Amino acid sequence: MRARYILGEILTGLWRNISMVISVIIVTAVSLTFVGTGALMQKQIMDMKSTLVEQAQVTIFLCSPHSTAASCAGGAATDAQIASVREALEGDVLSPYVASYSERSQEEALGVYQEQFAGESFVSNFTAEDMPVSFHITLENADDSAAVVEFFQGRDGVDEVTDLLNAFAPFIDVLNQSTLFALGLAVLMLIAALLLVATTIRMSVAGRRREIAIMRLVGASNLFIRLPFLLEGAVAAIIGGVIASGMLWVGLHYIVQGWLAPTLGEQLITVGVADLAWAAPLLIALGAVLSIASSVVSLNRYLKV
Amino acid sequence: MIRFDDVTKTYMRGQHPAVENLDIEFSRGEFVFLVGASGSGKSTLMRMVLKEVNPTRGTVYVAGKDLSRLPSWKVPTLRRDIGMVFQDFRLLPSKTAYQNIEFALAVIGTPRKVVRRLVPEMLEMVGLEDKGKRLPHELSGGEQQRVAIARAYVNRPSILLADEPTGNLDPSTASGILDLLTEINERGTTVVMATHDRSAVDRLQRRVVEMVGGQVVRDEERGGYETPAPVSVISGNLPDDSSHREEHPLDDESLVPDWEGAPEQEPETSARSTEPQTDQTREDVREDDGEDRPAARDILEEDLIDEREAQRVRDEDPFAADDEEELR
Repeated sequence: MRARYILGEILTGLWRNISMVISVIIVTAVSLTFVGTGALMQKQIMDMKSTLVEQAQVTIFLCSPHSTAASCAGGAATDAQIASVREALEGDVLSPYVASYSERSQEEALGVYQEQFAGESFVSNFTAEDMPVSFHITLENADDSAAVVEFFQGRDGVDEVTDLLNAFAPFIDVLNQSTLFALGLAVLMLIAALLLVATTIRMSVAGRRREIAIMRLVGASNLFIRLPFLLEGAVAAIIGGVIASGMLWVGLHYIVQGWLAPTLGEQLITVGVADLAWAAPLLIALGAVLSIASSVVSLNRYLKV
Repeated sequence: MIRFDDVTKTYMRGQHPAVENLDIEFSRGEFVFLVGASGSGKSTLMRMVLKEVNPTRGTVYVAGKDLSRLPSWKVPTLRRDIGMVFQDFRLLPSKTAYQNIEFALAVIGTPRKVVRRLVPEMLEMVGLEDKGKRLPHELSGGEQQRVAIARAYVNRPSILLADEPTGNLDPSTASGILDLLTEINERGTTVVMATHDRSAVDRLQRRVVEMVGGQVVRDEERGGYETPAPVSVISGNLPDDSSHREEHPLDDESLVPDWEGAPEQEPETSARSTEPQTDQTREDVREDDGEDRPAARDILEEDLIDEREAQRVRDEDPFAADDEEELR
């Protein structure tokens, strides 16, 4: 009896305020899309950082015969220079920062090179002699990379020191700024959504004044009187959340997986449609919770006990 | 069953109380007429029984429970044991007679099987067994009130409050409604009926409580509508003049003369002479009653009137809007 009655009331209520309900759905959907976008961007940043931690973060390339840097004026790095780098990495100054490092000899470098450009005709033109010796360093703390880079940059026999974190920094920056922007918009839209829900509930209450008065009179419990209104707002918000998830799917499928990932590299872009598995329920739950909270406030104002 | 213990209710600070120092008890199974001009506190009294409003001072007991100590989540339980009937019926216009009664059961979670048994039983009791499928506007006023009474009684409450239940009905229909209320009373329910219906009170000869300016001025065990008592407003013995109550206090020497318990006593002539307006005719008093209706409907009023209806009321009665303003 109860469940059926409440369900009927929800549908009646939704239908009676259909235009308000549609606007609630649209505003909720748009704001939740922004929330979802922000969340996915943060997830991308976190993925990227953890990849950096796993991989070598700083790479020191010693001079090869083809290096043009000023520090490579003496041609390819000598064994003494290689040894001094090795010593420095194991020395007292740097060892606190360095978690581990690996050395890549010229032969290994050639192997990597040949693998990377397999099938290209120019590969066979190079021998091990042409390749640089390199050190791949994993740091204790990725944020300390600047110190290590500083230490080796410009030393004799050192061609180039690359810092992956630095290379990724602009990208992470862009993502962080975009997240801020998306979340800012999301907050504004969510405020609008909450106010819309409150207004819708108020109208719904006004439209059912007679029923409410009689229910109060014959002793229906407060929860019973309020539940249809609460669920009415929640249903609208949940529909909004589902639409938001749909929009995110479109974005992830066509923009991220269809364009960004192939362009920027599959290793870099880790978010994808699979992430909707956690994002969609999160958005729907967020929509429902916010709308119920807004409804409770609204009901307390417009529906006295 | 219902006991008011020195209850005062002031709606707004500094204003004259709607109910003042009310000390009265209605016992189980009683049939009580509550009479008095509107604004005399009858509706406030009923609202306090329902815990629609809380007294400013004093305590209200219903079925042995102190209402001021009743937590708000228990109020619905209290109201399930109290039926309420209004002058304007307050049926849901989109629901049939059957559905209106069903609604009162459904919203408190009565199992469907019980509903199917109780609703036809109630329709039969109020004599509308063949009109269950009609919408309120397809029923006459008397029939609508019967449905309203069925809705109020379907839970078998131990108290039935009726706020001018016959106010909108013609005398013969009103008498039928009164019979129905009497029947309900005979089944053991305490009935408190606020009314301006002279013939109803005179016919039943039950307990009559008259209120003037928020105070009980008369409490007769087997009374009629009018009384020779000098404090009675509805009998035309005292002007209904609550705004000038300060000038004509109820505890005026001339009004007091140990009248209580002696309804046969002739009013003292001095009472009349001290009141310049007491030579009002009965017709004047009746006119007052007519005007009182919009104000007397104040229980749950603001919750009930939707925009269209409010507009209709305003169109019909230019004074209704003002009355509403005053009530807030």
